[in-house]
Amino acid sequence: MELHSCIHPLPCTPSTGILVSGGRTEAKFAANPRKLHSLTLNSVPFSSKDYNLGRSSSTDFSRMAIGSDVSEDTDDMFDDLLKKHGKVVYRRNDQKPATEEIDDDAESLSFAVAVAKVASDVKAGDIKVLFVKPLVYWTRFFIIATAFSRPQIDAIGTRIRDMAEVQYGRVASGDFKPNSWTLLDFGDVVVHIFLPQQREYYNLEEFYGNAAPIELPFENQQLRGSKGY
Amino acid sequence: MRLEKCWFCSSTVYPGHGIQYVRNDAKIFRFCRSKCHKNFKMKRNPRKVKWTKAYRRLHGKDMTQDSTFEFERKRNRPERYDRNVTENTLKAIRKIDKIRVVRDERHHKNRMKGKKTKEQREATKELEQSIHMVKAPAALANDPSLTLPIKVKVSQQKSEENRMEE
Amino acid sequence: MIQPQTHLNVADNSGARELMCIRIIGASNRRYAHIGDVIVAVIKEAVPNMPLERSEVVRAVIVRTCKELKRDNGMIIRYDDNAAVVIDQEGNPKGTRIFGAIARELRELNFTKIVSLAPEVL
Repeated sequence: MELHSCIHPLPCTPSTGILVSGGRTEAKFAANPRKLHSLTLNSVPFSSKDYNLGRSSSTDFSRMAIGSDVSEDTDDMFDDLLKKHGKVVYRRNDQKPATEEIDDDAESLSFAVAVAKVASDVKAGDIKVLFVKPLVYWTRFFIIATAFSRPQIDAIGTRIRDMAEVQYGRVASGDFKPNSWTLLDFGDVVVHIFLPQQREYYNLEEFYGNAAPIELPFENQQLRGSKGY
Repeated sequence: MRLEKCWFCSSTVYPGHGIQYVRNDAKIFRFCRSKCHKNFKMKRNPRKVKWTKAYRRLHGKDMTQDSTFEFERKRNRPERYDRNVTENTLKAIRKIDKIRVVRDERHHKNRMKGKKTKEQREATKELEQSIHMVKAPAALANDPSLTLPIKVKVSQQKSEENRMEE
Repeated sequence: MIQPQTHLNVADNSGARELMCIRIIGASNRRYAHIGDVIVAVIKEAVPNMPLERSEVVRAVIVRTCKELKRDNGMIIRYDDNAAVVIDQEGNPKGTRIFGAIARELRELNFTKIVSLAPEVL
């Protein structure tokens, strides 16, 4: 451990997921630091205030850093630190409100809204954008739209693909031919285009009923009226 | 990359090691090696198998409650990479590990505290109870009933045979 | 490792209960099918009063296998049973819901529809 390091390890450590399991582990980490950021690092819950708290008792820390052997009082100090910072560290802040999470995914959101806009331009019915990231890990947004004929599905699909490629440089996988359930997979945004009958049959909205619907900026009112099917 | 714990022996499963078994209710069982997987398939209870962490914890062999364990836990929120945090983490890993080892040793020492006196006590008891079985060498020589009779016979025969051959 | 004559469970609510593989779609004499492969199967057992009936020939996608699945990152996954999802010629699932855990490999193989109907993706 560096003696000169003015940043104390302990006030920071509890915020991070450390896997302490024998000497071999730490050697591995030291050898392969790239792994670290993908470790189960928790968010840094202690604010600058907490950090100052740590600073105030810096004499203790420096003593601790210098003392190469772990003596009894270091142990106690460790317990004290845990008492002091423990509460702060283990506060569960995993659950953020949906709105905040949406802010994290601003880029995906803008793309999703753009796709929905294109779909609305081609007169797709009952367009819904669902924020499904809290429910499934494999994507962020679902766009569900109804088209009333296969040529229309084709038109919507082609328009979306063109727009994505030109404006966002994204290429979709999924169905290339119009299908009664056409799916375009852009990675973090998945577009479902249904025929009315299939939409009712698969009933995706109900399956993802817990997902937060996104308000679309453009006017979708006249289409909302025909939500009945 | 997440380092998970083995379901059976609670050791760390490093990437590329072991196997995952997914039950139909989507519960995942991770195993660190085929030994643990096989034991699972044999439907053994890890609490009853002596070499697992679960057994050792349950029977007070290992330290169970310690603040150093608090650092190692599952967190479901990925952290954005921060160089300082990483650096401090790396430093702290070493420190915490050292503390943990020391505490582990202390726990072991505490656990083994009464062992020596217990052994001595048992030894004295045995000595007291079975001292009559020990005979002095002079007594053995005088009383042939104390030695094993067969052995004596064989040795005598052998000596006779040897004489005949000669 | 699914080959002709293998019986599979059905992991959706299409109405079939058990399938038997009769052909693997892909190369001309392919031996085994794994997760994400399409097979031709015959329905061995079906739920009464549902559109699918016994001894009907359908297409299905394999979603779970007892044989271990190896991922590129070294992860090895084994499931409880062999299970498949019935699809039609266009690739849409016949059922509306899927049961049990599903491997994420299906998404890479363009079965995102099945993935989006599944309750759990591993």
